[in-house]
Amino acid sequence: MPTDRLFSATIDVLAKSLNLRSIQHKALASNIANMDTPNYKAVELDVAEKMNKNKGLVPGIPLVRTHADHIQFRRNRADQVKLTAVAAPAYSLRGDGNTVDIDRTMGKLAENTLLYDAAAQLISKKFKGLKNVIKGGN
Amino acid sequence: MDFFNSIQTSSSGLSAQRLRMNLISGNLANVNTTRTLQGGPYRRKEAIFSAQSINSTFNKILTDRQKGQSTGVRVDRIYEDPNPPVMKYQPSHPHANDKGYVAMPNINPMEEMVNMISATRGFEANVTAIKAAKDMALKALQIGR
Repeated sequence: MPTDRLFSATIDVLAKSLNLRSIQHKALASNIANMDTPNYKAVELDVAEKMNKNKGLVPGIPLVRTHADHIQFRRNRADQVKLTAVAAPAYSLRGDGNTVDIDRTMGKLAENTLLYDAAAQLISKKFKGLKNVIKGGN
Repeated sequence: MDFFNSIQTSSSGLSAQRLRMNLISGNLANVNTTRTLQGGPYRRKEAIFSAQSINSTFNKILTDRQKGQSTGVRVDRIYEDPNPPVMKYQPSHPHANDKGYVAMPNINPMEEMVNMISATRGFEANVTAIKAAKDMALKALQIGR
C-alpha cells in the first residue's frame, strides 16, 4: 500500500510515545504540586508493554478482505501499550503520611522530558526526510 | 491537552507554596508582636494543604481516572498554632501581667527558616515542572517544521 510505505509505522509508534509521555508528565506534576500535602499518596505510572508477537496484527477478530482493492486494516503494535498505575511505595519518608520522593520525582521529570524531546525530534526528522524526497533533494 | 492540565496542576502548586511563604514571612515579621486586633500575642499561622482535582465535571473526572489523574493542591485552611505563648519576664513592658511576664508569640524563628527553605524548594520544583511542560509542548509544535 503506497501510504503505508510513505508514512511508516514508526511515526505512529512515536506519536503513541509522545502521548504516554505527556500523561506521565501530568502524573509527575501532580506529585510535585502535592509534595507538601499531608497524607497525599504519590501516583506512579508505568508503561506496561504488551507488545503482540504476531507481527503487529491485532488479536481477536481480524477484518476480512472480500475484495482485492480493500484496504488492509492493520493496527499498530503500539496501540496495545498502556499506562498502568503502579502501587506507590507504602512507606512514608516523613511523619505526615506523604509518600512523594521529590528527588526521584524530579529525576523522572527530567528523564521524561528528554525522552519526549527525543521522540518529537525523531518524528520531525522523519518528516524532514519525506520532504527531502518530495523536493527531490533540493 | 495534557500539557495545559499539567501546567494548571503545577500552577496550583506555585500559588499554594507562595501563600505558605506569605504566612512564613508574616510569622517572622510578627516575632515580637505582643498585641493583635483579637487581643493577646500574635499566634503562629500555618497553611494546611490538601489535594484537589483540577477538573470538576464528571466527564473530566472520568477521563482522568482512565488516563492518570491530575491532582492539584490547594490551601485547605490556615491554622493557628494552639501552642501557648512564650512567657518572658520583662516587668517594664506595657503589656506585662501582674507578675511582670509578657506573653510573646509562639514562634520559633529556626522553624520558620526551615519552612521557608522548604517552601522555596517546593516553588522551584513546580517552576521546573512548568518549564518542562512548556518545552515539551514547544517541541511538539516544531514537528513538521
